[in-house]
Amino acid sequence: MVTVVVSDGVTFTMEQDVAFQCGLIADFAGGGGDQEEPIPIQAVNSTVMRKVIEYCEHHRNDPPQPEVPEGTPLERKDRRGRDAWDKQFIQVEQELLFEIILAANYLNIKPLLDLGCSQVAEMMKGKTPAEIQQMFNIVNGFTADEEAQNGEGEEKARNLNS
Amino acid sequence: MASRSTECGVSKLSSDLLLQTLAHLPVPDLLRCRELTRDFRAFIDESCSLQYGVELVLAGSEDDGSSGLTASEKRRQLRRYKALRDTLHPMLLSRNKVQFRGDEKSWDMQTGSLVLMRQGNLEFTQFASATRNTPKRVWELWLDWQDFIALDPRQDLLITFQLQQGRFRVRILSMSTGARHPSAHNSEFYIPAPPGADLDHLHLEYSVFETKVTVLCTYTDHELGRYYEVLCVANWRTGYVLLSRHNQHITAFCVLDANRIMIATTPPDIRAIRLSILDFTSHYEEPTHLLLPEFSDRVSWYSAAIGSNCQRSATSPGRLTLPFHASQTDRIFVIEFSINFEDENLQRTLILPSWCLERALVQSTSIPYLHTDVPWEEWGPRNTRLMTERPSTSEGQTADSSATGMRYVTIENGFAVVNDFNRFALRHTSDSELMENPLVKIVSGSSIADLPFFKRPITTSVPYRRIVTSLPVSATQRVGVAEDYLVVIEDDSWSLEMLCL
Repeated sequence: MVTVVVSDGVTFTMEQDVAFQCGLIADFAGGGGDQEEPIPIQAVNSTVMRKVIEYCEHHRNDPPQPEVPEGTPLERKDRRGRDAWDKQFIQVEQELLFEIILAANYLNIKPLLDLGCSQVAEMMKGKTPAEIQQMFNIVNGFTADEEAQNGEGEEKARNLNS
Repeated sequence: MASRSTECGVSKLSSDLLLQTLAHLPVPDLLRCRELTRDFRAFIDESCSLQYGVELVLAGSEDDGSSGLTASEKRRQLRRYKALRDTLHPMLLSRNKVQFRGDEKSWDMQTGSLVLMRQGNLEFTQFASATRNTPKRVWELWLDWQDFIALDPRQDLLITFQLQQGRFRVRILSMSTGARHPSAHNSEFYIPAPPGADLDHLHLEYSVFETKVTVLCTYTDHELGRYYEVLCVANWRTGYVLLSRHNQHITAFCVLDANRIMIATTPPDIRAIRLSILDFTSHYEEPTHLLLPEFSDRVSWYSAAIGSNCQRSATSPGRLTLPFHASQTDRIFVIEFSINFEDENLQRTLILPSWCLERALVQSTSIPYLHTDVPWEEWGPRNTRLMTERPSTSEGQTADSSATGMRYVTIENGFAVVNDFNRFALRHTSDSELMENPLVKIVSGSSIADLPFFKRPITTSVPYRRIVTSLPVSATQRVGVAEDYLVVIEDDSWSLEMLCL
């Protein structure tokens, strides 16, 4: 069993095979039997940690991911192993989604990080810049000149799409 | 909601996470994302791996017929992208290891010119370039006694470094006249030098990229067991020192673009090379590691922070010499390194497309290209990793190599071998034909305009060639590539032999 304590003081106890999907915890525990001291994970709060553990528990029996050749352009290997459960799992509020991505990155859980990133990309797909700006609440800060160029680029994207 | 925009959502993601997210997007969406904010635009335009995907689609290689663009439209778009990227990474990258001291003669192939120094007299020979349409030029320059000089012929730049009371006095001069350089606002400024250094134990490496000059000065005194190094980046036009790092066991550096350099650190007792990309305008550092698999049982994983405050030691065991030859524009990185352990000496050459390197760095993991020796044939977009043993050399002969632009030259079995990488090099094709006839083959003319890649699938073009020359190279000779010439120089007599490629 592995015990961790997160930023808001909540303690979680997990089976070792669940916990060791987190590269960080695996590094911490060092493979040396049961940990007595709880591992402090300051960058993650309990809400997010609960989601992360839910993910790890569901995937505890997964076979290890096949090595993808390193040269593969990133976009080609997306949605690898993204099954219905994953899809359902990642349907969360935007704020929580980003929290999960950050936590997955911090805890070093590659598949969850991929899942989160692809979900964000999914949300951006097929939207106009204005829609994306609104969705993520981004202020563009372009000058009028640059805006004019933008129109041109939008046309370019449409051309590619059609 | 609006007030939270700075700490909410996408802007929370660090650049490597953002890259991973954007990598999931199809190209049309990626182009739209360029228009989100200025930061997004810069980020997408500057990311090699994203650009690569864009270019592949525009070049038609990944085109599954859904884009509906005509060939001429694609060409136009690609040209626009090319122009965009070329403004970001101009061809001004230069680097060398020349060290001038007094009577010594030296040469510099990276910048396409040869410089000889005889008692303060500098003799310049600039080679003719067919691609830039410049004639051959020879001239001389008389200088006062100088300790070290740095050159960038493309900017007519001559920089002198003079050790003065524990620091370097830097003077910015014009290479053709020897007078103050017209573009320099400050013709003189100072950069730090290792404390207590004397000239006999100093080694200076430099690189000039546009307005930035990067200097790595190492001071090693084995007798006294002292080691100190200073890395300094300065803007030579303004004389402003942008970055200086002291004694972090930086053994090599490589300029990536106008804002970033890659540094290799080898903290003592840690048998891993740590590569980091250092952004000296924002002082952001992307840490990463390059672990050596041969020693993986002896190497443990260290946290990213270790290089920045490692213990200083008098000598650095397992010291790494790591000459990078890199060119961002041409997208080929050649990293040569050799590490001396107590019981073993490791020499490797790592050649990989620069977009791979960037990605490998961004992911902060060990670079998997090192784990296996991959034959040349397996190099390609789906299986892109390339690693070669350092070319075997005959007994007592040091392998010498030099890279410029797309070409990389090595000595194999006493002959100079030129590796020519095409800019769109994606897959290695058979070179048996070339090997049968060991004469110089024409390798120039690999400019993008000559490539039929719009007509044919991109993977069948001939992107990489290995040219075994008929030019024997002896142990006392050195080879280099300058523009379209292969140059062999005699170490003792400094006689030159040039071969037009």
